[in-house]
Amino acid sequence: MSRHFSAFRKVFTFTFSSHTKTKGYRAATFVTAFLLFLIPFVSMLATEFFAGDNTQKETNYQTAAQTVYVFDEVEGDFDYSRLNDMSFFLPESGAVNPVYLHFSDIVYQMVDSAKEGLEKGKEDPCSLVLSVTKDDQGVHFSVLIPENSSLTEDDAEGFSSYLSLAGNAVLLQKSGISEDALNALSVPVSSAILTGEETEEADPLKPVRDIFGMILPYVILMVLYFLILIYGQGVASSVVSEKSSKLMDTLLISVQPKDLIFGKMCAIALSGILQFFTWGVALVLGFAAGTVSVKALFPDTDMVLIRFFESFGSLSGVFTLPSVLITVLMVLGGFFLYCALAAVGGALASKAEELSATNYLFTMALVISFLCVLFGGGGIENIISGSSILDFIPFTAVLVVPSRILLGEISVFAACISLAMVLLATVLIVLLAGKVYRMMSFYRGKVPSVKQLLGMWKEK
Amino acid sequence: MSLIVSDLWKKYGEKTVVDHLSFSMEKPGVYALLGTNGAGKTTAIRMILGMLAKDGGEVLWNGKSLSPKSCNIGYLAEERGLYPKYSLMDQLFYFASLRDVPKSQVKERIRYWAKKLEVEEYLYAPLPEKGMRGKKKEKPRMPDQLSKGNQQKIQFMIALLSDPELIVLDEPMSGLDPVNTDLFKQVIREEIDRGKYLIMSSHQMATVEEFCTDITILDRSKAVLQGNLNEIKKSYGRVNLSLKTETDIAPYIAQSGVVLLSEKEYEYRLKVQNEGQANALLGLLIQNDVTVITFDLSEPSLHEIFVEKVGEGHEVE
Repeated sequence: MSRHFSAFRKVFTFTFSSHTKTKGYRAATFVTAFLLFLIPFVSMLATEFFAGDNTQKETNYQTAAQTVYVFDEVEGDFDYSRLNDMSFFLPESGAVNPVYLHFSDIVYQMVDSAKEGLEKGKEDPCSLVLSVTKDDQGVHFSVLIPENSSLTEDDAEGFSSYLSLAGNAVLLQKSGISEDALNALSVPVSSAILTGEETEEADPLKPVRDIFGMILPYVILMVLYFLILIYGQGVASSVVSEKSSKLMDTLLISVQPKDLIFGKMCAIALSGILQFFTWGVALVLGFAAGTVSVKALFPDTDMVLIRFFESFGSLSGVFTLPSVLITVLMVLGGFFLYCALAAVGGALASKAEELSATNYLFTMALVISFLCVLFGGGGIENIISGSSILDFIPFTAVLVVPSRILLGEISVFAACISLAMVLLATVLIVLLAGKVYRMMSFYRGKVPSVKQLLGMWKEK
Repeated sequence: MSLIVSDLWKKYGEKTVVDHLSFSMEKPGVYALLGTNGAGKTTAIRMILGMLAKDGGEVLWNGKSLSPKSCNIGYLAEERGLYPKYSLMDQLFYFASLRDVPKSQVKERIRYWAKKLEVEEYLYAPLPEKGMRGKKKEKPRMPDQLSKGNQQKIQFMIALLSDPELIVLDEPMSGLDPVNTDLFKQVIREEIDRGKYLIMSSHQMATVEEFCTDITILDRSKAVLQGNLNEIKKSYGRVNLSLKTETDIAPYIAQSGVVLLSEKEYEYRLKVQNEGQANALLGLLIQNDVTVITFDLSEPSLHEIFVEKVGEGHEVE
């Protein structure tokens, strides 16, 4: 056992250090990382710079009216000068570019009748009269233009619109409600339809779960797919390298095929993970730098992306530590599983040119598993709540279990069993790759058929 | 120490590729495995070294099954190469570690063999000359920067780095120029002197003859001749006659019944049935006042024995 481990360690160390030392690997890692840092950083700044001020607007309609004479016959008191401090959302402005109406710096003077107000207004060309009356149909806010006024009907209409929004607040305060109660009544109200179960145990994080339930399966599938397609090929190429370099005899005198395969697979997979991690860190740093820069240069920014990043703070209660750990292990396990299949492909090829013919093994397995996940569970939207049988088939489990455990759709115990099956399958496939490598080590000719392979298998 | 190969055989489907091969080495020296292309030499070597599963037979080293665990093996394969993308030094360190060479000795051994095989310039950057401080460090050499012969030397180094007890050389000198051939021969001689066991497969019969004490000739997977080389030669008797005269002796050759193999400016290569026939020819020449410059009666060469044994129908390299 120690001899096997020693051989594995030596192959792993050499392959990993040699592979990561190559110019191609270093260039791909650092150039891509630089771009992944630069692109989000520059894009965020450029978006904010060129998009203009799309932040929440509080439009101060400085009406030409400077004084408003108020005749109020409705019961209850209201300090009309408070209207200077109020602003109201204009519904027709929409949610994308919301407009808030706000009239300030108006002097409100109480009068005993509308007539008195109109009389006083005659001497003040920038004044309006507000008459608040009540009848069977309700309370009416009427805006009157005094004679000789320099104000137009448009001015009066703007102010009237504002009053139609502020009216309820005026009446509520007139009813004697306290200011705190008024504030409490001002919070937004929404409605939803809930099932019986949901009403029993209300989950405050459900909206976040729902969003991640939609995003995570795609993200994890894509990450795995990307990892496997890029680095699976690398594993196969590395496995076949001794055959291409005529080093089979020299190497097989020193190391067992299964130790060789295992060492190479782990080395290439780890170098891939390292490269991918570097890219991930660069991307995160790019967005972080972009966020910090945008916030520093545009303090009033309301960029959707920044709000999205800030929402990550609410994830702390969504995911548990065991589920995150199992997810990471499952993604890594899945990556190794498919790399092991790629190693079988490499072991089958007798030269590098044949890799395209043998790599179908892992690409087909990946595509079929992907399709099973897509359609077997009832569509991508059902990955989370889909068929549980896919959790225990190693090739599909690695695609669905990470999302499902992360969102609490399966138990930690079930996820651990699934992970164990993935790891066991990986080890078995590596042993198979070792056996195939030994069988094929001195084979010359076309890629053998399944029948030929079975024949070779029987030949010890 | 001893190496015993007994009843080794292997079949691929219906085709037997090694047919019950047996031989042994009781003391240090060189054992030659000879044969035509496809006779089964390399397959036999791979089975002996445990790289290829055998269908039958056993290989013992000091009474135990031969494996890299029970015996320190050095192997220069016929099909040999180097990783094209990795530096030579990295590869030497890698193979040394795989052969369990102690870390403290790796550098020393690499330097020893690099000097011995005259490849230092490819492995070590030259020391900077005076006034050249700060000069850009020379990049490590890659295999594709070396000639085939120099690559072969690196591969030979890899085989010898672990100071093996058993050295297996499959066509060690193919493709080498005469200078490097001599270099390899010298190393082989030194290893023999150091009490190493060598198994050599070669098509260069003169080289085999130079080193080997015992041989096996394989033909179509079967051992057709086996034993001590000197004894094999003795069993053939002295049947090769080289003769140089001052005049044409073709009539006397015909008269004596000796077979003429070749002739060039009164230098004759002849095949006699026995020493008596050779002596009779010499007597005839003296009797007829023919001046004999050279009269050399010798045993058949290994080349001749090989050709005879494997048949003229085969392609001989």
